[in-house]
Amino acid sequence: MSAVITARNLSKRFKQKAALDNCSFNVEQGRIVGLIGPNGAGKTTALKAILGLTPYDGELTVLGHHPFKDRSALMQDVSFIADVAILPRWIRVSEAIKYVEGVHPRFVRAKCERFLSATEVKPSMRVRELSKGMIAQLHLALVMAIDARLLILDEPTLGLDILYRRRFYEQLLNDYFDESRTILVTTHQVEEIEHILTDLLFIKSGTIALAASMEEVAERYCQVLVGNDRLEAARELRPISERKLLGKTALLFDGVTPAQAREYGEVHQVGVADLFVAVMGGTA
Amino acid sequence: MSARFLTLVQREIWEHRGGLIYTPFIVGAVMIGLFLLTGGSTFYWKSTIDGSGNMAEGALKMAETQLNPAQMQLIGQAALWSTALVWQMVMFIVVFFYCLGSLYDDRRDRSVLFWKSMPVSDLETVLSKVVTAVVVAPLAMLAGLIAGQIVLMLLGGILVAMHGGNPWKLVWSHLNPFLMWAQFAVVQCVQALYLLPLFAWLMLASAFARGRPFLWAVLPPVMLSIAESWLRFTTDFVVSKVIWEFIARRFAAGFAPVSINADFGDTNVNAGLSGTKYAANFDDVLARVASLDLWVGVAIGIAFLAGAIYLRRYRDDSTS
Repeated sequence: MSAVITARNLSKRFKQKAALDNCSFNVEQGRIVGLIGPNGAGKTTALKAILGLTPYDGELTVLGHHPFKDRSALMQDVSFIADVAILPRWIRVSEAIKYVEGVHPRFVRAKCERFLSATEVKPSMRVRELSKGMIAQLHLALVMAIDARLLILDEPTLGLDILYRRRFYEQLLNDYFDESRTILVTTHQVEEIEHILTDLLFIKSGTIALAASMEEVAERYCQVLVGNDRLEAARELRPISERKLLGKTALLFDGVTPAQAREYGEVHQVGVADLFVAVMGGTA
Repeated sequence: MSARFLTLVQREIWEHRGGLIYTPFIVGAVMIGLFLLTGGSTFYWKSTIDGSGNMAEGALKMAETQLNPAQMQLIGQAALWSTALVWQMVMFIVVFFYCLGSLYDDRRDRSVLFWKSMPVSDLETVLSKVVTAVVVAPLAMLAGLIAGQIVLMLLGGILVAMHGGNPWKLVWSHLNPFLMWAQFAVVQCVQALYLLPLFAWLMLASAFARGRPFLWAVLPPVMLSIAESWLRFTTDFVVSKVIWEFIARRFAAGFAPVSINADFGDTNVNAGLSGTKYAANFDDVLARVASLDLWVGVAIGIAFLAGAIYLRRYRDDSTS
């Protein structure tokens, strides 16, 4: 598999502190990568560097391009939806479609219209007349009609209700994603997308805290519900986190085999949210 | 021009349809309204100059008997040019504020990242806005002007007829709108070059400002004057004088690119034209093309645009 994004010692310094501090990571083609980190950890800065919106230090290659030097060429292959990249309020739906069709060589109008026909968004409407959910549907329809290789989503469903959020990701998975495409997504609602992710990228104060596929995570980490009687013995295996749960204690282990762990209690798959809290330690 | 670039210009027209496209037609409608008001009032202009008792009718008789055709034509062209200047002034103000918002508004409403998510370079973006300011806006102005003046000329003839005059002999045969429109189009081409540094400066301020682009556009020349008065302990400005004069000439040309001068000398039929023979000083505009002032301005304008493109690329204030 070829790398869609390669970052080597990627750094970005603002006046006071480093937003990104020597980050190195790869994103392979055909993956759905969750970029997860607390507020101010450097997620948005990393995405901006990848999108060529901000200069940076270190090496970064996105689909063979230097993102900052080649932003306009790169944007033929990369699409993005961000909660900060909102559609202009004055534009009409038909104008937005005509605009993207006019400037984007890989936009397929028929596809976009098909996606929109399933919604209540009408061509003559202005964006200011649409609800937040409808704006997200319009933006998603515009982006899904672009045959891009990399899609970047930065909190794409922020402020939407659960129905829209679920439909957003369902549509993305059913009508858009295939092994030729790559998706990089950040969100605070980790639980909602963990079943679609193939890879995790945890970012903590500008550094990569964890980079692993979901399979690797499942192999490496496990969570055990331990009764009070076995707690001291289980602690010998050095859990990376502990929390009280229904009179028992949930211990999260790194590098303990399920067979080993089963001796102390019920073994569970680790959820991304629990893993995130454990890996981030006190900072989360 | 590629279809891509036309899409970018189209985008500007969509966003500023009211200001850039409708305004020239609204100006026309207002002028027609004013003409109807004053035209209607001429029926109440009492006069005792001659036997008719109505001043407008008296004036028509005087024109018929005392002005020669050359003088009538001069009045006609002067009327066309002076109404054209109303369009010019209004559109200058419209384009002024269009430029001031061109690279600022989408950062304020946070749609800038949507535009930047498209495969469009910052160079193309800025150029599409320049073209809108110096090509699209003047074309819309010309369209509104032609439509408005056609109606005004028709109404003028009708008004004369209602006062008992012969519209063809007194009005229409003396007007040469096609010449005036062609000249006005040429004037707009010179304007595009002459006003480029002013518009480019406004776009630079627009790309630079985190808020209040108007202030950022106005402050630097003002600060320069203040700085000069402090440094040289004098109010005898040298550097800032050059700059302010440069700016003043742009504003003068922006509002009135030609001077109207319908000096038709002796109003005696037999004397003919003794004064200046033009209605609008069209030669001034052509002389501007040969002036150093214009070409230095174009160079400065290009430098400002380069700065605007640079800022558009590096300004990163989209973080929440």
